[in-house]
Amino acid sequence: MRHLSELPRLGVGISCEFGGGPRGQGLDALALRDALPGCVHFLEVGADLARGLDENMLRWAAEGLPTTYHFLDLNLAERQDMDPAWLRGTLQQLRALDAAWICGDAGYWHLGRRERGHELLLPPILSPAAAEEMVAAIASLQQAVGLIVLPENPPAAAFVGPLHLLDFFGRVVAQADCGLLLDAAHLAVYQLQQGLDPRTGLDDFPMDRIVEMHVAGGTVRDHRGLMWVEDDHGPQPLPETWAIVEHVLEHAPNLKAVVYECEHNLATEVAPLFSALNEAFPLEAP
Amino acid sequence: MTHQALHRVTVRMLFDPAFAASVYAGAEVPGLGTEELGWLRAVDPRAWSVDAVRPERALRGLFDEYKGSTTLVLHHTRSLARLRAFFQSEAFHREIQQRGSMAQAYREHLAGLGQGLPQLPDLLRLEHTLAVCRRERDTTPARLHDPPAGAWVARAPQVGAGQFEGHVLETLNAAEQLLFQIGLLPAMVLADDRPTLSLPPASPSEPLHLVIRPIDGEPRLVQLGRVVSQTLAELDRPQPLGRVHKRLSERLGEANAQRLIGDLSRGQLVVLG
Repeated sequence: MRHLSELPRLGVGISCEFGGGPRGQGLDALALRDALPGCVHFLEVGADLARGLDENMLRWAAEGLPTTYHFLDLNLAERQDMDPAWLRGTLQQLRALDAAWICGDAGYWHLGRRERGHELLLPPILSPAAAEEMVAAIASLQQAVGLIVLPENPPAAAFVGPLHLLDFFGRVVAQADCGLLLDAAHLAVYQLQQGLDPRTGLDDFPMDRIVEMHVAGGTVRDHRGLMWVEDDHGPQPLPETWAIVEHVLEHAPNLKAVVYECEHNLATEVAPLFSALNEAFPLEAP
Repeated sequence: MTHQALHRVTVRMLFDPAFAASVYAGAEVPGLGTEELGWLRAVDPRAWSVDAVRPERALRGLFDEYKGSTTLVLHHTRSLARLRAFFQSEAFHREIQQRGSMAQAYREHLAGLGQGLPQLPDLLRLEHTLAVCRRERDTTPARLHDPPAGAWVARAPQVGAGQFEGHVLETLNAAEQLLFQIGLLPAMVLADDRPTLSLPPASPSEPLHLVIRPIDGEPRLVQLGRVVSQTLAELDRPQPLGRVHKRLSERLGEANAQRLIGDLSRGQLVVLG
Protein backbone atom coordinates (compact mmCIF):
# COMPACT_ATOMS: atom_id res chain seq x y z
CA MET A 1 0.00 0.00 0.00
CA ARG A 2 1.40 3.38 -0.97
CA HIS A 3 1.90 6.08 1.63
CA LEU A 4 -0.59 8.90 1.34
CA SER A 5 2.10 11.30 0.15
CA GLU A 6 2.87 8.96 -2.77
CA LEU A 7 -0.68 8.94 -4.12
CA PRO A 8 -1.13 10.69 -7.48
CA ARG A 9 -2.21 14.31 -7.48
CA LEU A 10 -5.46 14.34 -9.44
CA GLY A 11 -6.31 18.03 -9.27
CA VAL A 12 -9.92 19.18 -9.53
CA GLY A 13 -12.59 16.73 -10.64
CA ILE A 14 -16.32 16.15 -10.79
CA SER A 15 -18.55 13.45 -9.33
CA CYS A 16 -21.22 11.41 -11.07
CA GLU A 17 -23.81 8.74 -10.34
CA PHE A 18 -25.31 5.97 -12.43
CA GLY A 19 -27.67 7.05 -15.18
CA GLY A 20 -27.22 10.69 -14.39
CA GLY A 21 -26.53 11.80 -17.95
CA PRO A 22 -30.14 12.48 -18.90
CA ARG A 23 -30.79 14.21 -15.54
CA GLY A 24 -28.03 16.77 -15.51
CA GLN A 25 -25.85 18.23 -18.22
CA GLY A 26 -22.78 18.09 -16.00
CA LEU A 27 -23.03 14.34 -15.65
CA ASP A 28 -21.54 13.80 -19.09
CA ALA A 29 -18.11 14.47 -17.65
CA LEU A 30 -16.33 14.30 -20.99
CA ALA A 31 -18.62 16.96 -22.43
CA LEU A 32 -18.05 19.11 -19.37
CA ARG A 33 -14.31 18.61 -19.68
CA ASP A 34 -14.54 19.89 -23.26
CA ALA A 35 -16.77 22.77 -22.25
CA LEU A 36 -14.42 23.88 -19.48
CA PRO A 37 -10.89 23.30 -20.83
CA GLY A 38 -8.26 22.73 -18.16
CA CYS A 39 -10.82 22.59 -15.34
CA VAL A 40 -11.96 18.94 -14.99
CA HIS A 41 -9.07 16.52 -14.50
CA PHE A 42 -10.66 13.41 -13.02
CA LEU A 43 -14.03 11.73 -12.49
CA GLU A 44 -15.28 10.44 -9.17
CA VAL A 45 -17.55 7.55 -10.04
CA GLY A 46 -20.40 7.10 -7.59
CA ALA A 47 -21.43 3.48 -8.03
CA ASP A 48 -23.11 0.49 -6.52
CA LEU A 49 -23.46 -3.08 -7.64
CA ALA A 50 -27.21 -2.98 -8.12
CA ARG A 51 -26.84 -0.54 -11.04
CA GLY A 52 -23.24 -1.08 -12.13
CA LEU A 53 -21.35 1.40 -14.30
CA ASP A 54 -23.07 3.50 -16.95
CA GLU A 55 -21.96 4.57 -20.40
CA ASN A 56 -20.62 7.97 -19.32
CA MET A 57 -18.41 6.41 -16.65
CA LEU A 58 -17.03 3.79 -19.01
CA ARG A 59 -16.41 6.31 -21.79
CA TRP A 60 -14.37 8.44 -19.39
CA ALA A 61 -12.33 5.44 -18.26
CA ALA A 62 -11.86 4.29 -21.86
CA GLU A 63 -10.12 7.61 -22.59
CA GLY A 64 -7.51 6.63 -19.99
CA LEU A 65 -8.46 9.57 -17.79
CA PRO A 66 -8.07 9.32 -14.00
CA THR A 67 -10.93 8.11 -11.82
CA THR A 68 -11.71 7.49 -8.19
CA TYR A 69 -14.39 5.05 -6.98
CA HIS A 70 -17.05 6.31 -4.57
CA PHE A 71 -19.11 3.40 -3.25
CA LEU A 72 -22.82 3.90 -2.61
CA ASP A 73 -23.57 0.51 -1.10
CA LEU A 74 -21.19 -0.34 1.74
CA ASN A 75 -21.81 0.20 5.44
CA LEU A 76 -18.35 1.06 6.77
CA ALA A 77 -20.03 1.36 10.16
CA GLU A 78 -20.73 -2.39 10.15
CA ARG A 79 -17.81 -4.73 9.85
CA GLN A 80 -20.01 -7.58 8.65
CA ASP A 81 -21.33 -5.66 5.64
CA MET A 82 -18.40 -6.38 3.30
CA ASP A 83 -19.56 -9.80 2.08
CA PRO A 84 -17.76 -11.82 -0.62
CA ALA A 85 -20.35 -11.02 -3.31
CA TRP A 86 -19.98 -7.28 -2.72
CA LEU A 87 -16.24 -7.53 -2.73
CA ARG A 88 -16.15 -9.58 -5.94
CA GLY A 89 -18.42 -7.18 -7.82
CA THR A 90 -16.71 -4.06 -6.52
CA LEU A 91 -13.28 -5.36 -7.48
CA GLN A 92 -14.55 -5.84 -11.04
CA GLN A 93 -15.81 -2.28 -11.18
CA LEU A 94 -12.61 -0.91 -9.66
CA ARG A 95 -10.59 -2.69 -12.33
CA ALA A 96 -12.88 -1.48 -15.13
CA LEU A 97 -12.20 2.09 -14.03
CA ASP A 98 -8.58 1.67 -12.91
CA ALA A 99 -9.53 3.77 -9.90
CA ALA A 100 -6.78 5.57 -7.96
CA TRP A 101 -8.49 4.84 -4.65
CA ILE A 102 -11.81 3.91 -3.12
CA CYS A 103 -13.86 6.28 -1.01
CA GLY A 104 -17.37 6.81 0.23
CA ASP A 105 -19.55 8.19 2.96
CA ALA A 106 -18.54 6.28 6.07
CA GLY A 107 -21.68 5.25 7.84
CA TYR A 108 -24.73 3.33 6.67
CA TRP A 109 -25.85 3.15 3.05
CA HIS A 110 -28.65 0.74 3.90
CA LEU A 111 -30.68 -0.29 6.92
CA GLY A 112 -29.20 -3.47 8.31
CA ARG A 113 -28.57 -6.07 5.65
CA ARG A 114 -28.06 -5.11 2.02
CA GLU A 115 -31.54 -5.59 0.63
CA ARG A 116 -33.79 -3.99 -1.94
CA GLY A 117 -35.70 -1.10 -0.34
CA HIS A 118 -33.24 -0.69 2.52
CA GLU A 119 -31.25 2.14 0.89
CA LEU A 120 -30.77 5.09 3.24
CA LEU A 121 -27.68 7.19 3.99
CA LEU A 122 -27.08 7.66 7.72
CA PRO A 123 -24.01 8.61 9.76
CA PRO A 124 -22.27 6.37 12.28
CA ILE A 125 -22.90 6.72 15.97
CA LEU A 126 -20.18 9.13 17.08
CA SER A 127 -18.79 6.98 19.90
CA PRO A 128 -15.39 5.39 20.57
CA ALA A 129 -16.79 1.88 20.09
CA ALA A 130 -18.31 2.78 16.72
CA ALA A 131 -14.99 4.29 15.65
CA GLU A 132 -13.22 1.05 16.57
CA GLU A 133 -15.60 -0.98 14.45
CA MET A 134 -15.11 1.38 11.51
CA VAL A 135 -11.35 1.04 11.87
CA ALA A 136 -11.70 -2.74 11.54
CA ALA A 137 -14.01 -2.41 8.52
CA ILE A 138 -11.61 -0.05 6.74
CA ALA A 139 -8.63 -2.27 7.48
CA SER A 140 -10.48 -5.26 5.97
CA LEU A 141 -11.47 -3.25 2.91
CA GLN A 142 -7.97 -1.86 2.32
CA GLN A 143 -6.52 -5.33 2.54
CA ALA A 144 -9.15 -6.83 0.25
CA VAL A 145 -8.98 -4.26 -2.56
CA GLY A 146 -5.31 -3.33 -2.27
CA LEU A 147 -6.12 0.36 -2.53
CA ILE A 148 -6.13 3.22 -0.06
CA VAL A 149 -9.58 3.72 1.45
CA LEU A 150 -10.82 7.22 2.13
CA PRO A 151 -13.81 7.31 4.48
CA GLU A 152 -15.92 10.43 3.98
CA ASN A 153 -17.71 12.34 6.72
CA PRO A 154 -21.38 11.83 5.77
CA PRO A 155 -24.23 14.35 5.90
CA ALA A 156 -27.12 14.10 8.35
CA ALA A 157 -29.74 16.16 10.07
CA ALA A 158 -29.18 14.27 13.33
CA PHE A 159 -25.85 13.09 14.71
CA VAL A 160 -25.87 10.93 17.84
CA GLY A 161 -22.94 10.31 20.18
CA PRO A 162 -20.51 12.01 22.51
CA LEU A 163 -17.67 12.69 20.04
CA HIS A 164 -17.30 15.69 17.76
CA LEU A 165 -17.44 14.54 14.12
CA LEU A 166 -13.77 15.42 13.59
CA ASP A 167 -12.72 13.64 16.80
CA PHE A 168 -14.49 10.54 15.52
CA PHE A 169 -12.86 10.61 12.08
CA GLY A 170 -9.50 11.64 13.53
CA ARG A 171 -9.51 8.42 15.56
CA VAL A 172 -10.66 6.38 12.57
CA VAL A 173 -8.04 7.56 10.07
CA ALA A 174 -5.18 7.38 12.56
CA GLN A 175 -5.98 3.86 13.76
CA ALA A 176 -6.93 2.47 10.34
CA ASP A 177 -3.87 4.04 8.70
CA CYS A 178 -5.97 5.40 5.86
CA GLY A 179 -6.71 8.78 4.34
CA LEU A 180 -9.79 10.95 4.69
CA LEU A 181 -12.18 12.37 2.17
CA LEU A 182 -13.23 15.55 3.92
CA ASP A 183 -16.55 16.78 2.60
CA ALA A 184 -16.38 20.48 3.39
CA ALA A 185 -20.10 20.97 2.80
CA HIS A 186 -21.05 18.09 5.10
CA LEU A 187 -18.70 19.39 7.77
CA ALA A 188 -20.17 22.88 7.49
CA VAL A 189 -23.66 21.42 7.95
CA TYR A 190 -22.50 19.59 11.07
CA GLN A 191 -20.80 22.66 12.57
CA LEU A 192 -23.88 24.79 11.90
CA GLN A 193 -26.08 22.18 13.60
CA GLN A 194 -23.84 22.23 16.64
CA GLY A 195 -23.68 26.02 16.70
CA LEU A 196 -19.91 25.93 16.15
CA ASP A 197 -17.45 27.86 14.01
CA PRO A 198 -16.96 25.97 10.72
CA ARG A 199 -13.28 25.33 11.50
CA THR A 200 -13.83 23.96 15.01
CA GLY A 201 -11.76 20.83 15.54
CA LEU A 202 -9.58 21.21 12.47
CA ASP A 203 -6.62 22.49 14.49
CA ASP A 204 -6.49 19.18 16.38
CA PHE A 205 -7.20 17.03 13.35
CA PRO A 206 -4.37 15.06 11.64
CA MET A 207 -4.47 17.22 8.52
CA ASP A 208 -1.87 15.07 6.76
CA ARG A 209 -4.57 12.37 6.48
CA ILE A 210 -6.79 14.48 4.22
CA VAL A 211 -6.29 13.19 0.67
CA GLU A 212 -9.45 14.39 -0.99
CA MET A 213 -11.96 17.17 -0.39
CA HIS A 214 -15.52 17.65 -1.61
CA VAL A 215 -16.97 21.08 -2.27
CA ALA A 216 -20.68 21.58 -2.94
CA GLY A 217 -23.53 23.98 -2.53
CA GLY A 218 -26.36 23.57 -0.04
CA THR A 219 -29.64 25.26 0.78
CA VAL A 220 -30.64 26.50 4.23
CA ARG A 221 -34.15 25.35 5.11
CA ASP A 222 -36.51 25.89 8.02
CA HIS A 223 -38.24 22.88 9.58
CA ARG A 224 -40.62 23.96 12.36
CA GLY A 225 -38.14 26.63 13.42
CA LEU A 226 -35.09 24.39 13.10
CA MET A 227 -32.64 25.71 10.53
CA TRP A 228 -30.97 22.90 8.63
CA VAL A 229 -29.03 22.61 5.41
CA GLU A 230 -30.08 20.45 2.52
CA ASP A 231 -27.00 19.00 0.81
CA ASP A 232 -28.47 19.57 -2.66
CA HIS A 233 -25.20 20.04 -4.60
CA GLY A 234 -26.23 23.46 -5.88
CA PRO A 235 -23.58 25.54 -7.64
CA GLN A 236 -22.81 27.94 -4.79
CA PRO A 237 -21.16 26.69 -1.56
CA LEU A 238 -22.23 28.23 1.74
CA PRO A 239 -19.74 30.72 3.24
CA GLU A 240 -19.10 28.20 6.04
CA THR A 241 -18.15 25.57 3.47
CA TRP A 242 -15.80 27.96 1.77
CA ALA A 243 -14.12 28.78 5.09
CA ILE A 244 -13.38 25.07 5.54
CA VAL A 245 -12.13 24.74 1.95
CA GLU A 246 -9.66 27.58 2.44
CA HIS A 247 -8.42 26.11 5.71
CA VAL A 248 -7.88 22.67 4.18
CA LEU A 249 -6.14 24.03 1.09
CA GLU A 250 -3.70 25.81 3.37
CA HIS A 251 -3.09 23.08 5.95
CA ALA A 252 -3.46 19.64 4.28
CA PRO A 253 -0.02 18.65 2.88
CA ASN A 254 -1.24 15.40 1.30
CA LEU A 255 -4.33 16.78 -0.39
CA LYS A 256 -4.41 15.17 -3.84
CA ALA A 257 -7.88 15.77 -5.19
CA VAL A 258 -10.76 18.23 -4.95
CA VAL A 259 -14.20 17.25 -6.22
CA TYR A 260 -16.72 19.95 -7.03
CA GLU A 261 -20.03 18.12 -6.57
CA CYS A 262 -22.08 20.11 -9.03
CA GLU A 263 -23.27 17.49 -11.47
CA HIS A 264 -26.89 18.63 -11.66
CA ASN A 265 -26.08 22.14 -12.79
CA LEU A 266 -25.37 23.82 -16.11
CA ALA A 267 -21.75 24.20 -17.20
CA THR A 268 -22.20 27.97 -17.25
CA GLU A 269 -23.31 27.92 -13.60
CA VAL A 270 -20.31 25.95 -12.40
CA ALA A 271 -17.56 27.41 -14.60
CA PRO A 272 -16.58 30.24 -12.21
CA LEU A 273 -16.04 27.93 -9.23
CA PHE A 274 -14.19 25.36 -11.32
CA SER A 275 -11.81 28.14 -12.35
CA ALA A 276 -11.41 29.33 -8.77
CA LEU A 277 -10.73 25.81 -7.49
CA ASN A 278 -8.15 25.17 -10.20
CA GLU A 279 -6.43 28.41 -9.35
CA ALA A 280 -6.36 27.46 -5.65
CA PHE A 281 -5.46 23.80 -6.29
CA PRO A 282 -3.66 23.43 -9.63
CA LEU A 283 -3.07 20.02 -11.18
CA GLU A 284 0.67 20.53 -10.94
CA ALA A 285 1.75 21.23 -7.36
CA PRO A 286 3.37 24.66 -7.06
CA MET B 1 -22.26 -3.66 19.94
CA THR B 2 -24.42 -1.14 21.75
CA HIS B 3 -23.68 1.39 19.02
CA GLN B 4 -25.38 -0.87 16.48
CA ALA B 5 -28.44 -1.20 18.69
CA LEU B 6 -28.42 2.56 19.13
CA HIS B 7 -28.14 3.11 15.39
CA ARG B 8 -31.18 0.91 14.79
CA VAL B 9 -33.12 2.91 17.35
CA THR B 10 -32.27 6.08 15.43
CA VAL B 11 -33.69 4.48 12.27
CA ARG B 12 -36.93 3.71 14.12
CA MET B 13 -37.06 7.31 15.35
CA LEU B 14 -36.63 8.60 11.79
CA PHE B 15 -39.63 6.62 10.57
CA ASP B 16 -41.91 6.69 13.60
CA PRO B 17 -42.54 10.13 15.16
CA ALA B 18 -44.62 8.60 17.96
CA PHE B 19 -41.73 6.36 18.94
CA ALA B 20 -39.32 9.31 18.78
CA ALA B 21 -41.62 11.31 21.04
CA SER B 22 -41.75 8.44 23.53
CA VAL B 23 -37.95 8.39 23.71
CA TYR B 24 -37.91 12.08 24.56
CA ALA B 25 -40.71 11.53 27.08
CA GLY B 26 -38.45 9.18 29.01
CA ALA B 27 -39.46 5.76 27.72
CA GLU B 28 -37.05 2.90 28.31
CA VAL B 29 -35.63 1.38 25.13
CA PRO B 30 -34.54 -2.27 25.41
CA GLY B 31 -30.83 -2.66 24.76
CA LEU B 32 -29.93 0.94 25.54
CA GLY B 33 -28.56 2.31 28.79
CA THR B 34 -28.90 5.70 30.39
CA GLU B 35 -25.82 7.01 28.60
CA GLU B 36 -27.03 6.10 25.10
CA LEU B 37 -30.51 7.44 25.80
CA GLY B 38 -28.86 10.67 26.90
CA TRP B 39 -27.03 10.89 23.55
CA LEU B 40 -30.33 10.45 21.73
CA ARG B 41 -32.13 13.04 23.80
CA ALA B 42 -29.32 15.55 23.23
CA VAL B 43 -30.41 15.80 19.57
CA ASP B 44 -32.98 18.49 18.73
CA PRO B 45 -36.21 16.45 18.40
CA ARG B 46 -37.17 18.30 15.24
CA ALA B 47 -34.09 16.93 13.50
CA TRP B 48 -35.69 13.48 13.16
CA SER B 49 -38.43 14.73 10.87
CA VAL B 50 -36.68 17.17 8.50
CA ASP B 51 -37.22 14.68 5.68
CA ALA B 52 -41.01 14.73 5.66
CA VAL B 53 -41.44 12.22 2.84
CA ARG B 54 -39.00 9.60 4.11
CA PRO B 55 -41.80 7.15 5.05
CA GLU B 56 -43.51 7.63 1.69
CA ARG B 57 -40.30 6.89 -0.17
CA ALA B 58 -39.87 3.67 1.78
CA LEU B 59 -43.52 2.77 1.19
CA ARG B 60 -43.04 3.38 -2.50
CA GLY B 61 -40.25 0.80 -2.62
CA LEU B 62 -42.35 -1.70 -0.71
CA PHE B 63 -45.36 -1.02 -2.89
CA ASP B 64 -43.31 -1.83 -6.00
CA GLU B 65 -42.89 -5.38 -4.72
CA TYR B 66 -46.36 -5.78 -3.21
CA LYS B 67 -48.46 -3.84 -5.70
CA GLY B 68 -51.37 -6.23 -5.85
CA SER B 69 -51.55 -6.92 -2.12
CA THR B 70 -51.26 -3.23 -1.22
CA THR B 71 -54.02 -2.36 -3.67
CA LEU B 72 -56.29 -5.04 -2.21
CA VAL B 73 -55.63 -3.87 1.33
CA LEU B 74 -56.33 -0.22 0.50
CA HIS B 75 -59.51 -1.30 -1.27
CA HIS B 76 -60.48 -3.32 1.80
CA THR B 77 -59.62 -0.81 4.54
CA ARG B 78 -60.17 2.45 2.59
CA SER B 79 -57.54 3.92 4.87
CA LEU B 80 -54.13 5.30 3.94
CA ALA B 81 -53.51 6.00 7.62
CA ARG B 82 -53.74 2.32 8.45
CA LEU B 83 -51.27 1.51 5.69
CA ARG B 84 -48.87 4.21 6.91
CA ALA B 85 -49.20 2.79 10.41
CA PHE B 86 -46.75 0.20 9.13
CA PHE B 87 -44.01 2.37 10.59
CA GLN B 88 -45.61 2.09 14.01
CA SER B 89 -46.10 -1.66 13.74
CA GLU B 90 -44.42 -4.18 15.98
CA ALA B 91 -43.17 -5.99 12.87
CA PHE B 92 -41.40 -2.89 11.53
CA HIS B 93 -39.68 -2.11 14.82
CA ARG B 94 -38.72 -5.75 15.34
CA GLU B 95 -37.21 -6.22 11.87
CA ILE B 96 -35.22 -2.99 12.03
CA GLN B 97 -33.91 -3.70 15.52
CA GLN B 98 -32.98 -7.27 14.59
CA ARG B 99 -31.27 -6.31 11.30
CA GLY B 100 -34.06 -8.05 9.46
CA SER B 101 -36.09 -7.30 6.36
CA MET B 102 -38.43 -4.34 5.93
CA ALA B 103 -40.26 -6.28 3.19
CA GLN B 104 -40.90 -9.11 5.62
CA ALA B 105 -42.38 -6.65 8.12
CA TYR B 106 -44.52 -5.05 5.42
CA ARG B 107 -45.88 -8.45 4.40
CA GLU B 108 -46.92 -9.08 7.98
CA HIS B 109 -48.54 -5.66 8.18
CA LEU B 110 -50.54 -6.23 5.00
CA ALA B 111 -51.63 -9.66 6.22
CA GLY B 112 -52.91 -8.09 9.43
CA LEU B 113 -54.81 -5.36 7.62
CA GLY B 114 -56.32 -7.76 5.14
CA GLN B 115 -57.76 -10.26 7.58
CA GLY B 116 -61.07 -11.54 6.25
CA LEU B 117 -60.13 -10.74 2.65
CA PRO B 118 -60.11 -14.18 0.99
CA GLN B 119 -58.07 -13.16 -2.07
CA LEU B 120 -55.20 -11.72 -0.04
CA PRO B 121 -53.28 -14.67 1.47
CA ASP B 122 -52.37 -16.28 -1.84
CA LEU B 123 -51.67 -12.99 -3.59
CA LEU B 124 -49.38 -12.02 -0.74
CA ARG B 125 -47.66 -15.39 -0.95
CA LEU B 126 -47.23 -15.01 -4.71
CA GLU B 127 -45.76 -11.51 -4.44
CA HIS B 128 -43.51 -12.70 -1.64
CA THR B 129 -42.23 -15.52 -3.86
CA LEU B 130 -41.50 -12.98 -6.61
CA ALA B 131 -39.68 -10.79 -4.07
CA VAL B 132 -37.56 -13.72 -2.92
CA CYS B 133 -36.62 -14.56 -6.53
CA ARG B 134 -35.69 -10.91 -7.17
CA ARG B 135 -33.29 -10.97 -4.22
CA GLU B 136 -31.64 -14.13 -5.50
CA ARG B 137 -30.36 -12.11 -8.46
CA ASP B 138 -28.00 -10.12 -6.27
CA THR B 139 -26.32 -12.91 -4.34
CA THR B 140 -26.25 -16.69 -4.16
CA PRO B 141 -29.23 -17.64 -2.01
CA ALA B 142 -28.57 -19.20 1.38
CA ARG B 143 -30.77 -22.15 0.37
CA LEU B 144 -28.04 -23.24 -2.08
CA HIS B 145 -25.29 -23.25 0.51
CA ASP B 146 -23.95 -26.56 1.81
CA PRO B 147 -24.88 -28.98 -1.00
CA PRO B 148 -24.57 -32.69 -0.20
CA ALA B 149 -21.56 -34.74 -1.23
CA GLY B 150 -21.79 -36.32 -4.69
CA ALA B 151 -24.13 -35.35 -7.51
CA TRP B 152 -26.98 -33.06 -6.52
CA VAL B 153 -29.80 -31.01 -7.98
CA ALA B 154 -31.59 -27.90 -6.77
CA ARG B 155 -33.94 -25.21 -8.03
CA ALA B 156 -31.85 -22.56 -9.78
CA PRO B 157 -31.39 -19.07 -8.30
CA GLN B 158 -34.21 -16.66 -9.18
CA VAL B 159 -36.54 -19.58 -9.90
CA GLY B 160 -39.62 -20.11 -7.76
CA ALA B 161 -42.63 -22.39 -7.83
CA GLY B 162 -45.81 -22.98 -5.95
CA GLN B 163 -49.45 -23.93 -5.95
CA PHE B 164 -51.88 -21.04 -5.63
CA GLU B 165 -55.63 -20.51 -5.53
CA GLY B 166 -57.16 -20.37 -9.00
CA HIS B 167 -58.12 -16.72 -8.64
CA VAL B 168 -54.67 -15.39 -7.77
CA LEU B 169 -53.67 -14.27 -11.26
CA GLU B 170 -57.07 -12.75 -11.95
CA THR B 171 -56.81 -10.85 -8.69
CA LEU B 172 -53.33 -9.60 -9.52
CA ASN B 173 -54.43 -8.61 -13.01
CA ALA B 174 -57.41 -6.69 -11.63
CA ALA B 175 -55.14 -4.71 -9.30
CA GLU B 176 -52.60 -4.01 -12.03
CA GLN B 177 -55.35 -2.95 -14.45
CA LEU B 178 -56.65 -0.44 -11.91
CA LEU B 179 -53.16 0.91 -11.22
CA PHE B 180 -52.53 1.26 -14.94
CA GLN B 181 -55.73 3.27 -15.37
CA ILE B 182 -54.91 5.54 -12.45
CA GLY B 183 -51.36 5.95 -13.72
CA LEU B 184 -52.69 7.38 -16.96
CA LEU B 185 -54.39 10.23 -15.12
CA PRO B 186 -53.48 10.24 -11.41
CA ALA B 187 -55.78 13.18 -10.65
CA MET B 188 -58.72 10.84 -11.27
CA VAL B 189 -58.43 9.66 -7.66
CA LEU B 190 -60.19 12.93 -6.76
CA ALA B 191 -63.24 12.10 -8.87
CA ASP B 192 -66.29 10.34 -7.47
CA ASP B 193 -66.66 8.24 -10.61
CA ARG B 194 -63.04 7.05 -10.69
CA PRO B 195 -62.49 3.40 -11.63
CA THR B 196 -62.68 0.95 -8.76
CA LEU B 197 -61.24 -2.44 -8.08
CA SER B 198 -63.30 -5.28 -9.38
CA LEU B 199 -62.16 -8.49 -7.72
CA PRO B 200 -62.88 -11.99 -8.99
CA PRO B 201 -64.90 -14.20 -6.67
CA ALA B 202 -62.83 -16.14 -4.16
CA SER B 203 -64.85 -19.30 -4.59
CA PRO B 204 -62.95 -22.61 -4.72
CA SER B 205 -61.48 -23.37 -8.12
CA GLU B 206 -58.77 -25.45 -9.74
CA PRO B 207 -55.42 -24.52 -8.18
CA LEU B 208 -52.76 -22.85 -10.30
CA HIS B 209 -49.29 -24.36 -10.48
CA LEU B 210 -47.00 -21.43 -11.16
CA VAL B 211 -43.31 -21.16 -11.92
CA ILE B 212 -41.26 -18.02 -11.65
CA ARG B 213 -38.21 -17.64 -13.85
CA PRO B 214 -35.95 -14.70 -14.69
CA ILE B 215 -36.47 -13.01 -18.01
CA ASP B 216 -34.11 -10.10 -18.69
CA GLY B 217 -33.16 -10.21 -15.01
CA GLU B 218 -36.72 -9.75 -13.71
CA PRO B 219 -38.80 -12.60 -12.28
CA ARG B 220 -41.72 -13.52 -14.54
CA LEU B 221 -44.64 -15.87 -13.99
CA VAL B 222 -45.14 -18.82 -16.28
CA GLN B 223 -47.46 -21.83 -16.17
CA LEU B 224 -45.54 -25.04 -16.87
CA GLY B 225 -47.92 -27.56 -15.37
CA ARG B 226 -48.35 -29.33 -12.07
CA VAL B 227 -45.46 -31.79 -12.34
CA VAL B 228 -42.84 -29.16 -13.16
CA SER B 229 -44.13 -26.77 -10.52
CA GLN B 230 -44.26 -29.43 -7.80
CA THR B 231 -40.83 -30.76 -8.67
CA LEU B 232 -39.28 -27.31 -8.55
CA ALA B 233 -41.02 -26.53 -5.27
CA GLU B 234 -39.53 -29.68 -3.76
CA LEU B 235 -36.02 -28.75 -4.91
CA ASP B 236 -35.71 -25.73 -2.66
CA ARG B 237 -32.40 -27.04 -1.29
CA PRO B 238 -29.72 -29.15 -2.99
CA GLN B 239 -30.65 -32.82 -2.83
CA PRO B 240 -28.79 -35.96 -3.90
CA LEU B 241 -29.51 -36.48 -7.58
CA GLY B 242 -30.00 -40.20 -7.14
CA ARG B 243 -32.65 -39.70 -4.49
CA VAL B 244 -34.53 -37.15 -6.59
CA HIS B 245 -34.36 -39.39 -9.64
CA LYS B 246 -35.73 -42.31 -7.62
CA ARG B 247 -38.59 -40.24 -6.22
CA LEU B 248 -39.55 -38.91 -9.64
CA SER B 249 -39.26 -42.36 -11.21
CA GLU B 250 -41.79 -43.71 -8.72
CA ARG B 251 -44.24 -41.04 -9.81
CA LEU B 252 -43.50 -40.68 -13.51
CA GLY B 253 -41.59 -43.73 -14.59
CA GLU B 254 -37.84 -43.83 -15.08
CA ALA B 255 -37.68 -42.50 -18.64
CA ASN B 256 -39.96 -39.56 -17.86
CA ALA B 257 -38.01 -38.76 -14.70
CA GLN B 258 -34.77 -38.73 -16.66
CA ARG B 259 -36.30 -36.52 -19.34
CA LEU B 260 -37.79 -34.13 -16.80
CA ILE B 261 -34.49 -33.55 -15.01
CA GLY B 262 -32.76 -33.04 -18.36
CA ASP B 263 -35.43 -30.57 -19.52
CA LEU B 264 -35.29 -28.61 -16.28
CA SER B 265 -31.53 -28.42 -16.49
CA ARG B 266 -31.52 -27.31 -20.14
CA GLY B 267 -34.21 -24.76 -19.31
CA GLN B 268 -31.99 -23.42 -16.50
CA LEU B 269 -34.72 -24.07 -13.96
CA VAL B 270 -32.48 -26.32 -11.89
CA VAL B 271 -28.77 -26.40 -11.22
CA LEU B 272 -26.77 -29.61 -11.07
CA GLY B 273 -23.70 -30.02 -8.94
